[in-house]
Amino acid sequence: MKKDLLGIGDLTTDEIYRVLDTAEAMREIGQRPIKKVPTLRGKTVVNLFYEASTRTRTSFEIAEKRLSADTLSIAVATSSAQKGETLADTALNLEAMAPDMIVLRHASSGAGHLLSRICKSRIINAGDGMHEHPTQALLDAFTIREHKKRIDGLKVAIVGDLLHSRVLRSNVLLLTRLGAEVWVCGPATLVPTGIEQCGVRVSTSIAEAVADADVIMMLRIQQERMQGAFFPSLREYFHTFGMTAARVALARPDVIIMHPGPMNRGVEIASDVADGRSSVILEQVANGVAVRMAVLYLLGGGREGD
Amino acid sequence: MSRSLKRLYRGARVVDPVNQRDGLFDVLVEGDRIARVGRNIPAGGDVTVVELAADLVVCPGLIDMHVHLREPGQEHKETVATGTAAAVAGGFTAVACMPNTNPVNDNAGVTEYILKKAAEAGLARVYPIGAVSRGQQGEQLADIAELKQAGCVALTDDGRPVATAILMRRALEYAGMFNLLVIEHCEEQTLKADAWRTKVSTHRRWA
Repeated sequence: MKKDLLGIGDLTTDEIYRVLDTAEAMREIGQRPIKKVPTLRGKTVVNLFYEASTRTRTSFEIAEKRLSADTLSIAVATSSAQKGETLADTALNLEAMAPDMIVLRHASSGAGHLLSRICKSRIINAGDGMHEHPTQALLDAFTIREHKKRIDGLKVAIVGDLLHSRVLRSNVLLLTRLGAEVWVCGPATLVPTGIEQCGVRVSTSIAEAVADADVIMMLRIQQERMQGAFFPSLREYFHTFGMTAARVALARPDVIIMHPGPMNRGVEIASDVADGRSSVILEQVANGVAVRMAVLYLLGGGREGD
Repeated sequence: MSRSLKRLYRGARVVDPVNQRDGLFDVLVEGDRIARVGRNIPAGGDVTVVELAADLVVCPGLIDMHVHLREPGQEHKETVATGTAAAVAGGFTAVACMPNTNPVNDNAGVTEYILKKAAEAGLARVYPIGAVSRGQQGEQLADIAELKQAGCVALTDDGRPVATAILMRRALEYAGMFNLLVIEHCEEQTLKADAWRTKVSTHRRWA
């Protein structure tokens, strides 16, 4: 593995499968009465989160603790960034205390790359702006593989706010690499220019995008990243692009419905779909811990062949 | 009108661009269809002959792409019924009406109301044009998907031109999904100043 995991491009296809296979083993640890192995004992992991997060931060923390790492989480609201310190200076100061890994979430695309250049610690990107969120894509691939036993040849429809989504970018890179037929769908105002060059099919018709899909992945409308209005109203958005039972019925009968969270019920997804029998949304969360354990293990401990 | 009823219109100038026809022709109408256009069409016993004055023009119904029917909200100026009556009196069989009603035609409720009034009047065909932005305020897109579904044929903010490039870009991208045209009133509001009254008031008078 490379020193850092900043994006899917840092992983070879073999390494992707190694993460997924390792996650299978890691998941078993989470089912034991004592959910802890000594793999990362003596390693220090800093979770540096500049953006609000419930799932990802908790997931990393639990993963780190199950691997026996010494872990601390810095919520930026109570940190020196509030006193005007730059990201680079914060990182250098943390670096001076010699952590082994830094898990970074930041609102700016490329924040992890900046840390990668100035830190000896391994950097794991837990979401950088509108760029990438590689561990989310890995846990999504893990979840898909668990249900479908393969990824190659599946039709995956990713629907919603494409423009602002780092989950989209990491998933497009990962799923196309593993041979899925990826469709992306959203209002024309939220389709990134040139996305078709990533080897995906683009549609503004949700019916076309989800027709015979094996996997439907919904993306949240990220109003906190929007400048002005990209579509008329949440009501019209739901009517035009919301995932309803009627639209799910256009997909294959065994379709799985995914969402990286947090969900906005009644906006991108109807409650009966979110809670329905096709939904694997909570499985994604559960799998997130195993996949992050695998990433931490392979980056931090597994390298030496522990 | 009975299908068997036949009328022969004679003596007027017939202008029919599709068939490249412009001159004095007879027009035979059977029921609600034009059966024949030509010179010296014989009038059989069952045909009612209508002699037209030579200064009249017979042509396909005209379409006015920019009218204000003012309903709902300004019925003291115009209604769908009076506006379409004026239209057909002038040879216009279809009109496209601007969205600057009160409330603005930025949602399906207003569009449906206009179409209901048009059906009641039963005169010219009415093609509602929806607003680009909510309330023509130039800030947020109107509910364009539902405007299309309700029967709008195009979008415009009419006399309040879409003021920002970003709203125009999003309007074009969004409207494109529904194959709707955006009609822009090309006027720079920050330059208009006093010239507005003299130059635009002429333009805005409905046909």
